Amino acid sequence: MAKSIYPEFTAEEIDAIVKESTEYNTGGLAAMRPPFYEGLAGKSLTLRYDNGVTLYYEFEDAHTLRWKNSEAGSSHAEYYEALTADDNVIFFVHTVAGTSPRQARMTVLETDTRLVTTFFAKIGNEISTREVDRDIVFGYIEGGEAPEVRHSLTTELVGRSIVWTYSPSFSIQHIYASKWYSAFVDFNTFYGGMLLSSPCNYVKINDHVYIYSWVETEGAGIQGFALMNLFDMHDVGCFFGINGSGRFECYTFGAIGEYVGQLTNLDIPNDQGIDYPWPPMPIGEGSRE
Amino acid sequence: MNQLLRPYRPHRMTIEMTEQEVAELVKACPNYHIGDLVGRRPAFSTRFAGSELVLRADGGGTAIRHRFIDGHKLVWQEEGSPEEHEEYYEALQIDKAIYLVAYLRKDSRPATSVTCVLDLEMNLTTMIISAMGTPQSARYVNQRVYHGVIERDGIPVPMAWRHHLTRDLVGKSMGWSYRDDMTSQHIFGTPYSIAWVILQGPGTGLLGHAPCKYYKINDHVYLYSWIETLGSGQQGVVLVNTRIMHDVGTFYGIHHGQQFEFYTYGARGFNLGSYDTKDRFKW
Repeated sequence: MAKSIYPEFTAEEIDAIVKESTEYNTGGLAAMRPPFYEGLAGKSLTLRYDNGVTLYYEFEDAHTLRWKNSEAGSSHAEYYEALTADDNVIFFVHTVAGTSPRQARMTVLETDTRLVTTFFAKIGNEISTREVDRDIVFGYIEGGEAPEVRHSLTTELVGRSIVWTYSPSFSIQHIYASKWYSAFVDFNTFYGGMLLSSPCNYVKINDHVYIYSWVETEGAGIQGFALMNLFDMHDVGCFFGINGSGRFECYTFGAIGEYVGQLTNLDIPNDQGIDYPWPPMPIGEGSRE
Repeated sequence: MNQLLRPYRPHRMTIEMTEQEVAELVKACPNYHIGDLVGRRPAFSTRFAGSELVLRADGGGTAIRHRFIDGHKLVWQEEGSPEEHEEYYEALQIDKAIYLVAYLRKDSRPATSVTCVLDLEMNLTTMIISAMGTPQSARYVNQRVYHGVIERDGIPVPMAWRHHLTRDLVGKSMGWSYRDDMTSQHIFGTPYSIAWVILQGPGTGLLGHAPCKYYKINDHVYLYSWIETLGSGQQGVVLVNTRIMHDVGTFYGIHHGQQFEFYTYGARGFNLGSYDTKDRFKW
């Protein structure tokens, strides 16, 4: 294997880094982040997922929640942050205290349709102790009949590109290059206009709100998660993992987008039947694709 | 790992090598010039057979006399040196008076390839002289690019005009069809880098990226070249005619299958659109 500038850590070292990083929820990309959403405070939600998992959430206030795996089980308190991306679309994120390797959940709730998407993320996989792995699971909020449709993986963004401005001095171009991959251009830092790439997934929430989430597998291994509103051209999201400086982080951000164009999406792989299909997922009856 | 992610891991696929191992591999690959992307390569040009050119780089750089014996044999001699070297070469035409000439310097150590753009309309040349090995890795290609003039038959050469770095392509994207079953998309994302998406072939949907330089040859012919510094360390060179949307080029280095290669290719191109980002780069 060729040399990497990002050192591998042992599981014990990762745990120590997590423990030392008490300011994990503070990042440098908060300038364009909207105010935290406080509307979950005082609410209880039961999230039923298509993989059979059910999570019970009680939001005590704007930044404290309790969750449990079963109605009768003991609950766990976590710090959380919530942001909205659209009138009925809420994003909240929390780490799972006490887990080793550290886990986190990024959840998008759609209050009008009661649909839910959660990224169950953890640090480390069979390739690297520092690379984030995640399961993307769809489901719904309990409260009436189970919805027939689900949020879904999508190729609708392929070919498009948006420049996201996180602060007056920090802009990144995201290129949604293929069903499996994205590229980004850093206009600002020591990369000096270089282009980098990462594997990713896209999830359609509604006709103008999408999740774009990537893992920097050729970099520090962190996961980026962006919930984008293409009407407002605003996103909210979070980074999770061990960053390039060896610090554990799970912090939220916001950015203003500028659409910079669409390349031709030839869809040759689909047209010629040579596409790599998405692996089977325990999804609901229908999807919004 | 969750199978919803399909990471392309070029640096993990890359085996580190010593300089000695690279030299031995070069020796063990006598068919270095035979690649598998020849289906859309134009016929070799014999335009230079029987002619003699001096490619003179600017700034007191290299000056190399080339005697083209026939369609595939040339003799080169560095100015000031008595040594002559006979090589196998390939020449391809991409525009009315613009050619690509490629040859490997036999028995050179580190193995050194030469890819030249010969612009007979302006009597200009751009030479990419690349040797195996960098301070980072013995298998990475170390590239030097020289701009200069072609001296031939006493024809005057331009005093100032040269092929030069360009941002004309920034934000654009082109698809390249090398074979019926091998197509890739190039995204000229920044003035200094490139991304490519495999549209057909092994790894469909995967994307790679690399540092890249772009040069303007004339108003419709461009040269670009990248080094795969995140992976195998190979060099790609593309000479594209945007009027006919065809390219020719070379690949050089050691691929992930551990074969040394320096071969020419050709591909049919198509315009895949552009992003409005050209003027955003302050460097």
